[in-house]
Order: sequence, then structure tokens, then C-alpha cells
Amino acid sequence: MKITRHEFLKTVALGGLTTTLASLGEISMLAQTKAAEQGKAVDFVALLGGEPAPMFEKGIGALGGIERFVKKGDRVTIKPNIGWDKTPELAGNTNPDLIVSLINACKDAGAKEIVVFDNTCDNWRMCYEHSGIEEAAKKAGAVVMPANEERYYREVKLPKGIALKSAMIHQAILDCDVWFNVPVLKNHGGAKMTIAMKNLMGIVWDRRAFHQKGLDQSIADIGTIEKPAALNIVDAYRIMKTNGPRGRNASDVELTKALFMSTDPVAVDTAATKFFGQFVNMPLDNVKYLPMGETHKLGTMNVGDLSQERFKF
Amino acid sequence: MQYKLLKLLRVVVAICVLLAFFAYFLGLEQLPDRISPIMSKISAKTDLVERGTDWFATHAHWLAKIQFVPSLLAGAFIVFGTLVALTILFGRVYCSVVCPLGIFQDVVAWFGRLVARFTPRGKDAQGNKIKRPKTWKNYSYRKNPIVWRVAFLIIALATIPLGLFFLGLLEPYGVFGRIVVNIFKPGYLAINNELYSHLNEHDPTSGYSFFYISIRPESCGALVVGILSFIALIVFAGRWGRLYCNSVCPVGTVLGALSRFSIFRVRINQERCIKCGMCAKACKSSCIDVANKKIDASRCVVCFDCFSRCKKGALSYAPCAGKTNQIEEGANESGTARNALDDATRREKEKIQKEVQTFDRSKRQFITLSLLATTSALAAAAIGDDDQDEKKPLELTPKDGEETKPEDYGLTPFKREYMISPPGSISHKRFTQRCVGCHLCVSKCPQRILKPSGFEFNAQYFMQPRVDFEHGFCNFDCTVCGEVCPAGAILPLTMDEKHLVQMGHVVFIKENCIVYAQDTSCGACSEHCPTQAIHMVPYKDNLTIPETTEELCVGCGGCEYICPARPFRAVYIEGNPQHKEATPVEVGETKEVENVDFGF
Repeated sequence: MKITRHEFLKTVALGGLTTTLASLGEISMLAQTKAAEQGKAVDFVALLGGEPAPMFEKGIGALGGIERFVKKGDRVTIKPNIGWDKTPELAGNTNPDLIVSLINACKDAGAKEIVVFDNTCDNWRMCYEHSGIEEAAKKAGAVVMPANEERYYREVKLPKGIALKSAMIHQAILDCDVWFNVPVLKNHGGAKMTIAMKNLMGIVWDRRAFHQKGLDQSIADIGTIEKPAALNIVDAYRIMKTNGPRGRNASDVELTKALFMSTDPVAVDTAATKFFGQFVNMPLDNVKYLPMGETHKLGTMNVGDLSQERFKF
Repeated sequence: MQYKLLKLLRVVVAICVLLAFFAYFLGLEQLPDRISPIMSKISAKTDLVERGTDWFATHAHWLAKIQFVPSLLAGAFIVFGTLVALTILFGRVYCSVVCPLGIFQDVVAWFGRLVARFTPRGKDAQGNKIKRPKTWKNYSYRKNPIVWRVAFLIIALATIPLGLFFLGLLEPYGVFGRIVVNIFKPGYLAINNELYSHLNEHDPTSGYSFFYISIRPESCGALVVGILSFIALIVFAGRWGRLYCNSVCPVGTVLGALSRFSIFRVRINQERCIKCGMCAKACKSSCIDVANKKIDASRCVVCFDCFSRCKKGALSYAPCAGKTNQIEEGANESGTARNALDDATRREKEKIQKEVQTFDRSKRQFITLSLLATTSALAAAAIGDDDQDEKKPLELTPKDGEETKPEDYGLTPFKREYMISPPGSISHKRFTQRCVGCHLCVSKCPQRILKPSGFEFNAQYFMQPRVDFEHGFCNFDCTVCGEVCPAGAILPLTMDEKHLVQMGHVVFIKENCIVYAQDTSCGACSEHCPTQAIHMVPYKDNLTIPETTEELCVGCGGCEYICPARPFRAVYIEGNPQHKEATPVEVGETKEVENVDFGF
């Protein structure tokens, strides 16, 4: 049984869901900790146990609907992680189903154009193709843009940056009205975790500069760009628990069926790291860019401070 | 009349082959993907075009695989045997319609003659006679440069133990490939980028069907060689037609030796010929000796250009002299006595010719043997030298006193001892004896990491591609170079085989690493490593530092490419002169977790 956002909101308004678990077909809902009022949009949503598309629809509903982020006629950019020449099963890249759900939502909201891109690590043609994202996104009506040449990038100053004072940023980010950061949850050899904040390395041309100037601080610094992502959507349907961010084979991957969405990149990364820590030991202290992001006022590591909802399918 | 048809057939096939070659070497088979969004706006019948180009994309590799030298090197004996049989049957048809450089020369020669045709005659304004490029308009008979031909062939063959340095430089397929990849491809990319900027750059709805591809020379050496070959091609072919084919080209020499005895060949009817010399003027091979009414079959590439010039019907392309003469004699009014006399003289002539030929042949054998002996001795000596310097120590200057840690990093120099040959090449020695340097793999490599060698490592690798990580690294799940190589220099690998080929191995220089020097996290190398041959291990303050497991390494160069340390990187790939087998990574399955919770 599929539930639309409207049905869902209506149900929420009707029932006292904060204290009881209401069964709606196959969906059961947990009490949310800090949603101030019922039916009011929250800033953090965690979803568990579903397929990417229904989880996204549920989540975006709780956040106040796509209309909260996309106005009619907007130029929208979606930045998934398409870093590696890997098939979706190997969790190297964001799940294409999730990208399609997001594109469809943006179209429904009346977006004028939707651009999808990533500055890949492996050969960009192979990444775009084998990730399944190019084909799915094109079919859904988005424009898939290359990001493999310097000419697509423009220099932007980062006045608040500590290590990274400026960066070449992809024009799809600079020219859009609103953009979505859609990473996949993975372990990372250098930065320990790659989630939402780390995903911004893919909007930058010279990723080597990050490593040269100090990886953790640069990850935090790039978050200070003038136009941060309107929403961070962390795909944890499959996670890469070891040998990330590239992974060697299917044994690095775990099917966890989760999705985290928040306007706060630090919070969503903190939550995702804690979620990840259930499978592989990953103390928050190891992820050094999180407190750095907090210092930059990009968000909070105290997830409980945000208004939020949690859903279990 | 039938000769006109034959010539038409020759020209049509040749032009199709040449165009297909250009399309294949430039990568035009990808074009329909790019133009289909535009075409679908214009017409609905893009289906047929797509199917055609799909067919081309899957079959075009045969163009390179039916070439003479590559098929021999690859041990494709069916192809090679067919080419030999074709030559014995019909003469040097290969040179006219299969060899891309041969066809390319014909095109250049045709343009050269066109220029001559449109140069004005007579006198200019000052009353001086206008100098017309005479040789461009008419060819004339030249003696068979047999010494040159044999000398080049022997040099090419005798130096094979050294590597294909000479054969590769002289052999037509390689020459053609280098010209197209190093000169025409940048031009094609410039057109592509122009199309991109007009069609896509300012109109995102166009779907970025064209995308910008930066233009850079594959290597300086290759650019120079390409330009020089192209200039030589224009000068040689423009002025002297097929001079290269009949004096330098080792394939031309070998096929020429066969076509001497070919069954079908162009012949002159001794009675009909009036020695007007028109045919010789049209002969781009300069092989028609009008004075003696003879055609040097070893140089004739059966182009049929001479036929239309002969007004007396004295030329024929037939299985054997006797038969044609009989047919033609039927039309002749001469009596049988005269024929008998002619036959007698002809037989005598043939006897003399045969003697000359056998003399020629024995002389050639002598030259062959002596040259072969000296050159192979030289080759052996050179290989011996090679073996000697096989085990030189790595030029690393390890910093003593590790406590005095430098603030700067990337200062410890290193020098790569061995080049890195492409995956599937098995060993440097094998590779260098098989690759003719056509640069097809250079053009097709999606990562553009195959770079034609100059003299960086060893002169014997000249023009043969090596793997270079300056602009990229070898994509783990890619086997393109082996699929396209026509000579078997890079053998085709399955994905599983490719994953275990170690073309080089990782070397980590701790003093150059930013983690060590500045106590900051990095891990770019490990991030790119497909097998975790370089992985991060706990260091201090929750930091991790790279550690290598050499036997897992495939030498893809992801680590070297991305390492941020400069001027010297902290990690690089040392080539394996003999490729090794990497230890396979343990493969497991994805687990689905049960009863999972949020964890926060």
C-alpha cells in the first residue's frame, strides 16, 4: 500500500502519534523526539527499513514537502556521489532510485531545469554510465552535465575558510537557484567518513588542494560557500562499511535500508556516523571535520537540538 | 570497359576503407550518441543511423586486424595467409585497397595532380615562362630500387630482437596511425569543442550531447614523428606517387616479391604496344618500362590507372600471358608463322629475364644473409647490455635521522627505474617486439594515460605507448587497450584477468607524505586504490597513514595520480619489466542487516 504525503499528513493530524505507534498498512511510525507541533515541518528526518523511493517521499513530506525548497521556475541542481566506476549494488555511488525520486519531486514542484553532475574520481563516462545515474536521471527528465574539465568551474572566494581560502566551484552549483546534496554513506580511508560534508569535494575542480591544505579543515571550509545545499539527503540504503570510499567488492557493502535528510549537514553527518558506528567501530572523535563544521556554524553535532521525525517501515 | 569497372571498384573500396580508418582512429563511432538528440529534433529516422554506427563500432576493429604486419605479429595466420594468397592471386591489391597509408598516398597524389592541372600554362606578366610542377602531373619509369628495398626490409627484420623500433617506423599501418592520432585527432577534438560551445555550452536543455575534451599532444616525440611523417607523406606521394611503397615500405617489398609471381597481373601486349608511353605517365608506381615493353610486377599495385590511358588496348589484367595472347591473337591479322617466330623470341627473352631474375635473387640472398648476420649480432650485443643493467638500485636518498621531521613534504626525489607497459603486454621485452606504435590504444584509452614513448627509458621503446599517470590512472574495470590492439602487443584480457595483472607495483616514500610531515589526515592514495594494496593504518592522534601490501597492487596508478605531495609524490608506481600476478582480493557477499536501529 502506498501512501501519499497528503494522506500521511492527514493521518498525523488525526492521531496522537507522539505517544502511540500507529500502524498504517506496512508502515509503523516511531515517536519523534522534538517535533514541536504535529504536521509542522521538521529539519531532520531519519527513515529505516524501506525502499529508496517511498522512504524519500515520506521523508520529504515530513520536511514540509519539496515546495519548501523548490519554487516554481527554479533551476535545480542535484549533486549525488558518482565518484566511482561502480554498479549500484556496490554502494560506491548514490542510489539511482533515490535520485529519480528527487528529480520527480522537483519536476512536480515546477522546476524549470534540473541538472545532475559530479566531479568523479574514476573515468567520468564510466562512472556516469555504470552508476546507473546518468540513464535514470535522463529518463526522469534531468540534464546530466559533465564535470571533468576545468572550464565548467569558476573561482569562488571562501572568506570564512581557514585552510581553503578559495575554490573552483562547478557552474551548475553557482548558477542554480537551489541545490540538493545527495551523498551515499561510506567509510573513508582519509577522512574516516564520507557523507554530506565530504560530498562537496565533488563540486570542486581541484580536489588535490583539499589534501594539500589539510583534508578535514578543507572539508569544513568548503561548507562555508555562499549558497549551501538546501537539503542534505544521505543515502544509506546500502552503505560501504570498509575499504571506502572506493570499496573492493560486495563484502564491503551492507544493506541497511536507511535514509537521513536534513537541512543541517553537520547534524546529518553526525547522525549518519552514529548509525554507521553500529556496524563498524567509528567513534565521533575520529571524524575531525564535524567539530570544525560546528565551529564554522554550518550546523550542530547535537542532533537532538533539531526538530525531527523518525520512521520505521 | 571491364577495366573501368575494376578501377571504379578499386577507388570506391579504397575510399570506404580510408574513411572507415579515419572514423575508427578518431573515435567517430561515438558521434551518433552525441548527435542523436539533435537529429531526433530534425528527423524520426535516427534508428537506422544508430544501427549502422552500432554495427560499425562493433566491427571496426577488423580494419586494424587485417593489416599485414599486425596480423603477422598477432599470429593471426588465417588473416595473414589470406593476404598472401590474395597477393599471389591478384597482385598487390592489399597495397591499393587495404593498406590505409597506401590509400592515403593515392589521395594525396590525386590532389597533387589536381594542383598541377590547375596551374596556368604559358607566360606570366613579366613574360617568364610559368614553371609548372612537371613531376606532379606525370610520372615516369624508374628502375626498381632493389637495393634500397631489401636494405630497409633487412634493417626492419633484423632489428626485431631489439624491439620494433625500425619496423614500427617504416611499416605503413603504424605510420598511418601515428599521423591520424597525433595530427588529425587534435583537429577533430577542436571541431568537437567548437560544436560543444555552439550547441551545448549555453543551452543546458541540449543535454550536453557534445562535451568539451581538452586538446593536448599525446607526447612531444609522437607529435614530432607525426608531423614529420605527414610532411614526408605529402612530399613523397605528391611528387612521386608510390615511391615510399616501392623503396622504403617493408610490406611493399615482401608483397612485391610475391606479386612478381602473381597469377593475375597487368601485362603489355607486345604487338599492340606502340611505345607511346602514355601508360607510364599515369603509373604512380613508376613501374612501366615502355622502352622494353615491360611492367615490373613487384612494384605494380594494380590500381588500373594505366588502362584508360592506353589507346591501343595493349594492356591486360589476366591470369597468364599465354592465354591473353591467344585471345588477342585471334583478333590479330598476323599469320601463324609470325606468331611462331614471336613465340621463339619471347621465349628467349623470358629466358634472359629469368636469368637476370635468378641472378638478382641470389645477389639479394647474399645481401640478406650478410646484413642479417651483422645486425642480429648487433642486436644480441644490445640485448646483452640490457640484461646487465637490469638490477640497478633505486635512486632514493632516504633521509637520515627521522626525528628531524621536515615541515615541507614531497622533497625526497625518486626516479622510476622501469617504464610501465600496458596491462596485457605481459613483459616489456614481449611488448617491445610486438608493438608497431600505431597509437590506436593511445587514441582509444578512455583515461588518456597511454603516452607514446620518446627516449625516456630506452630508445627501443620509441613510439610505443607506456602508461603515464600525470593526467589520470588506469581504470580498474576497463580493458579497452587490449581489445583494440591488432598486433597482440597488448593481449585482450577479461575483467577478472585484468584485475590480477600487476603491471607495476606501489612504492611509498614516507618522508614525502603529508600525514607524516604535517600531522594532518589525507588518504587520497588509499581512497583511489581498488585493491587496498595501499591502505590506511593507525598512526597517531586518531590519524592514519598509508601502508602498502605490494602483492595486492595492480599498478593502476590511482595512488600516484592523486597524491598531493609536490614536487615529488609520496607514492609512485615502479614498472614491472615482467608483469606479475597480483594476489586476488577475498570476495564476499553483501549482508542484509536485521533489526537495525538508528543508533542515535
